[in-house]
Parts: sequence; C-alpha cells; structure tokens
Amino acid sequence: MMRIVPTGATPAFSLPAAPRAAGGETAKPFADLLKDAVDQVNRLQSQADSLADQLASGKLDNVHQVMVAMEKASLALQLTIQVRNKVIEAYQEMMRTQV
Amino acid sequence: MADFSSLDISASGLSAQRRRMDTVAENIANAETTRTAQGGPYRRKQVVFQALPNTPGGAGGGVTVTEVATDPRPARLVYRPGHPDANAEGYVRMPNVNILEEMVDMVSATRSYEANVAAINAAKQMTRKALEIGRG
Repeated sequence: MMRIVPTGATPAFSLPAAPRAAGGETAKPFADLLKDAVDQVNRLQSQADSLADQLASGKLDNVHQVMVAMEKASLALQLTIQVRNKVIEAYQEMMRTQV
Repeated sequence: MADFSSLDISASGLSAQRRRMDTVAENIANAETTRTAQGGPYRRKQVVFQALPNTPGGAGGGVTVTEVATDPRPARLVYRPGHPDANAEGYVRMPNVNILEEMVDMVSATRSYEANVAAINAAKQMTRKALEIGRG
C-alpha cells in the first residue's frame, strides 16, 4: 500500500522558519545589502578617480591599471543601475495592482 | 568583488608584460654599453615570471615578476683598438645583448600584452551580457 506523505513534510513545500544565509547566521536585511553594494560601487569609483589623478600627476606609469580600475567602476555602476531599474519596476508593478 | 577576478588576473599579466618590455628596452638601450657601476660591460637582463597562487574560492591568481635575472652568457669580444675600454690586445668586452633576440622578445611581449587586453575585453563583455539578462 502506498503511503500518503503530507505536503508540509516534503522539502519542496516546507516553509523555512526564518530567512537564513548559507553560513548559518540570519540573513542580512535587503537595505543593508543595498547599502553595501552602493558602498562598494562608490569605493571602486573613488579608486578609479585616485588612480586617474596619480596618472595625470605622473606618480603612476601604468596606463592599464587606470583603465582596468575605470572599467571595474563602470561595470559596477551599470550593475547598480540595473538593480535600481529592477527595484523601480517591482515598485511600479505593485502600485499598479488593482484593489 | 569576485566578479572582477579575471580583470585582476589579466591586469597582472599586463603589468608583467610591461616589466618584460621595460627590460627589453633597457637591453636595447644598453646594447653598446661598456661601463657599468658593477664594472665590466652591461649584462643582458631578463624577467622571470611566477604564477600567483589562487584560492579555491576563485580569488587571487595571476602572474608576477619574481626576479630580473642577468644573462650568464659571456661578453662579446670586439676588436676596436681605439676604444678607451680596449684591453692590451685591442679587444673591447661588449654586452652579451643580441639585438635580434631583443626584437623577438619585444614582439612577443607586445603580443602577450595584446592577448591580455583581449582577455580583459572578453571578461568585460561577459559582464555586460550578464547585465542584459533583465533587459528583455
């Protein structure tokens, strides 16, 4: 005879008690994640700026270091813009909801 | 950011090839130098590359110049009796630099540099493509 398994016990349907990160500690709030990401983008931008300054003032003779730093900053900024677009999109989707 | 580790690795390759180019330029510039601070003619220099260890997480890696070694080959003897550094028989000890060898090394360094730039552009393109995922 086949046993009937309650849906709650199957791993696919069981709800987690609290959001947990892979490391075991509780997951960071979304706002913190966003703030960290923006801080990182800002750090990359200021790094690229200071390298460009060093190159212009002759303290640095490697052009490629500046170019790589600038590319990193540009890519990080583009990622931030994409995340922002997604967040705005989700917000507008919620605001369009019929009540 | 771990996403940029390929950029960092390629950048280390660029720096290494840049150093190689510097030594080639130094060798060419000193191809006829008979006096150095250590005494004797200039000795050819060459860079030695070493791979940087990378962690299992994917960070790190790349290449670095561990040492700038001098070429152990003997100095060229050129008969030039009027030269101030000529010995009693009229021979001058010239640097062990072979210009042809240096030119080949220079072309190789330039091409390796270009290859690293191509790798950077490919990595950049990959990230750009990843950002296009949500745009459709």
